[in-house]
Amino acid sequence: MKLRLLACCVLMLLAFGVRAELMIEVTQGVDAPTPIAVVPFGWNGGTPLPEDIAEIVSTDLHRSGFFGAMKRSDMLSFPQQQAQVFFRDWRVSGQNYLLIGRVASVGGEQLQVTYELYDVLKETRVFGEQISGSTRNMRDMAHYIADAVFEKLTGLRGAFSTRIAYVTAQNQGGGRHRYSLQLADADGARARTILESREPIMSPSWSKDGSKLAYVSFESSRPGIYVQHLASGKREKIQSFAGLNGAPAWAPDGQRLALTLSKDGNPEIYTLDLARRQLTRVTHHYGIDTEPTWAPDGQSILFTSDRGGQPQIYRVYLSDRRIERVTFEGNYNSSGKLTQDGRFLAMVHRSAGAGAAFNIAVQDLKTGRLDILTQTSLDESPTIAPNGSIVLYATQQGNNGVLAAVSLDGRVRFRMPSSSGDVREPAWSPYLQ
Amino acid sequence: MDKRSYLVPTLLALGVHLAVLLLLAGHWFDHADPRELKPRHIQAQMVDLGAMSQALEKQTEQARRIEAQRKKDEQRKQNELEQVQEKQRQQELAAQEKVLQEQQLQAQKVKELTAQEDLAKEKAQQQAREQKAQEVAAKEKAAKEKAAQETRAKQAAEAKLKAQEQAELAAQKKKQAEDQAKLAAEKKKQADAKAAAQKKEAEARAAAEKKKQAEVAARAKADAEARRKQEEQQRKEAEKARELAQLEKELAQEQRIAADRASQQLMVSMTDYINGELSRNWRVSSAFRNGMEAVVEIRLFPSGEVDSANLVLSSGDSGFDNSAVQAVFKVDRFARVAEVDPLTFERNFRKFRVKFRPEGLRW
Repeated sequence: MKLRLLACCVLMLLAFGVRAELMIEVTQGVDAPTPIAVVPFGWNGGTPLPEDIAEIVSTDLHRSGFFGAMKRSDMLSFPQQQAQVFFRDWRVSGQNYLLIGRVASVGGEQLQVTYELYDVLKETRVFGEQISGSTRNMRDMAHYIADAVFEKLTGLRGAFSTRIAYVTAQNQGGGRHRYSLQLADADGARARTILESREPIMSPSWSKDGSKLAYVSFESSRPGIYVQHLASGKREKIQSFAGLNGAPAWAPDGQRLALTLSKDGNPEIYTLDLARRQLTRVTHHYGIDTEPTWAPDGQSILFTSDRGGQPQIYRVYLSDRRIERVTFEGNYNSSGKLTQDGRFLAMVHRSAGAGAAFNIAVQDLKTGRLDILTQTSLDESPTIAPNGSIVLYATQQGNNGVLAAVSLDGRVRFRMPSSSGDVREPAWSPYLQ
Repeated sequence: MDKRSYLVPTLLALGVHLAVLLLLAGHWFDHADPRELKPRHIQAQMVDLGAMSQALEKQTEQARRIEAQRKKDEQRKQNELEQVQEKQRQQELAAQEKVLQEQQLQAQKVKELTAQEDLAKEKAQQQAREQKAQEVAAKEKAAKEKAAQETRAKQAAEAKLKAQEQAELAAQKKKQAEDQAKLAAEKKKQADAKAAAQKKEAEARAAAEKKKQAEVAARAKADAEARRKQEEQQRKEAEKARELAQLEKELAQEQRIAADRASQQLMVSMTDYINGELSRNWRVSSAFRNGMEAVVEIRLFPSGEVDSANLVLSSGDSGFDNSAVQAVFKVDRFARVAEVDPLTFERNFRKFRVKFRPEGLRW
């Protein structure tokens, strides 16, 4: 009892010293990217370097939509060392962060790149690193630095070191085309052809480890589903039933593919166990069911179906085959792709009403809210960066198809570097090991 | 002692001497006849008792007038005395108890004076009576001697003379008796006057006492009234003081409320200002989600400059946390904080916390 009394007294005495601290609540901010200055890296070599690392980093960060990179022409100085940094100058110019670096040759083609990130407002060094590489993979080093800075400042893993695959079609006249399956950096650079065909190539899909691509090729008499190992270039024909064989999608476990097959007379969704080559029919409906995409947990598949009279996106749960409709807005929703967290669904969307265009839209599956991200008219084949920040899609520019990107919140839009021919069917790789 | 008090006895004495001289004048003139000297004759001288009686009456009347005058004077003196006493009593009223005592002492003195005066008067009268008696005795003796001489000289007319002498003696006795009666009457009158004076004095005293009691009562009443008025005044003053205190209390309360209101307004104004500054400098990324929440503790210098900004509650998203801290440093200086009084600054703005909780985001 005495102890309790004593405790009460002590608490009361403590209470005298406690005063409610002022708490201000901020609920609104500025919808603008964070300003960052990426100063050209110093170079101690004689001959110019084949790549401008700072420029690549700056472009990567700027196109993410999270950062606003300062123009070099606006910079007052080009510090390469901490001692050369005058924070006041950068602060006056409105920058929040400053990235400086220097490249040193360590013999032959080998380079050593040192970079440092500074917080201009706090006037502190955030972090720094020294990496090595050769003159041939300077872009990889630049994307690596961009990823590191991005992750440090946003908390999200950067996706600048990932790849994209897409299909190009070269019109060779006479109604003939030459189709190529291209592989490029996430920024569209360093594109290379991994498959060429006179017949259409469609629906490239990355395996979850980023080592393989599955796609549909019409190179034989009927469409077949192929899997190609990127490292070796080895190809494997997985399925080629009569009728439609299309839209392969890798399961998260990497052991299964979801397919659209019409071997039973009507396009339906199937799963294929790659190890056992066992097909499992998932949907049973007289309508067209196609374009499957896996949920991140591998427990359900989203697909496009016109079973409701118009193309809409549905979800089928593999455990009980239960099907639910996911999209309700607009009269056309197809080609659904989920973010890695499974919350957002990017799709081709057409609003109700005459003259409505096909746009890329994103729907929050948690709240059901749908937002149209693009303003062009013939957008298709959305694919999402592994960190969920950017949606890449194909659209029309004149008579050619091009690749464009938009941030998931629609704030940042940009075109990928133009490739020759008609570009379509992009697919963003997962994080590469 | 007033000189007038000896006038009556002196006049009486002169009257007696004059009467004796008149009586002896004829005898003295008879000594011129040698024949009458040789034989031993008793020469009788006719005494006009009527004239003497008239003279005596005149003297008595004069004495009565003198006495009346004296009484009148005494009355006047008494009146004056009373007036003085009245005046003194009035003064006593002003001087209260002390003056009353002095008045009593004065009255006592007056009384003593009066008694002394009476005693002196009585003594003078007694002396006059004794002198008169002595004169009468001498006169009787002379008359006896003369009668004896006359007896011896006129044995024939002795009887007649004797009768006359007896008559004279009787008359004289009568006169003495009358004088005594007069004296007694005078004495009685004096006693009556004295008694009356005493009674009057007693009455005056009683009246004075009564008046005094009335005055005391009046004074007590006045005192009570004054006390009541004083108490009333004190009560009113206390009431006034209480009202004043209440008024001051209410004024202080109002001032406190006004100060609190001003302080609240200041706080609202300042928090709005700080909120605005932070909102303008907080960059909301597309990666932010509704429901994220981070709390930053800010320390300011009195100039409003940011001393430090430390994350005290993380959202779990490093990008969100960074943006919150960056927003504070981006503001750099909350200029209006410098306008806040030092006490308010120390209490509220030296150190405070800001919760960053985005609302209205797309997701």
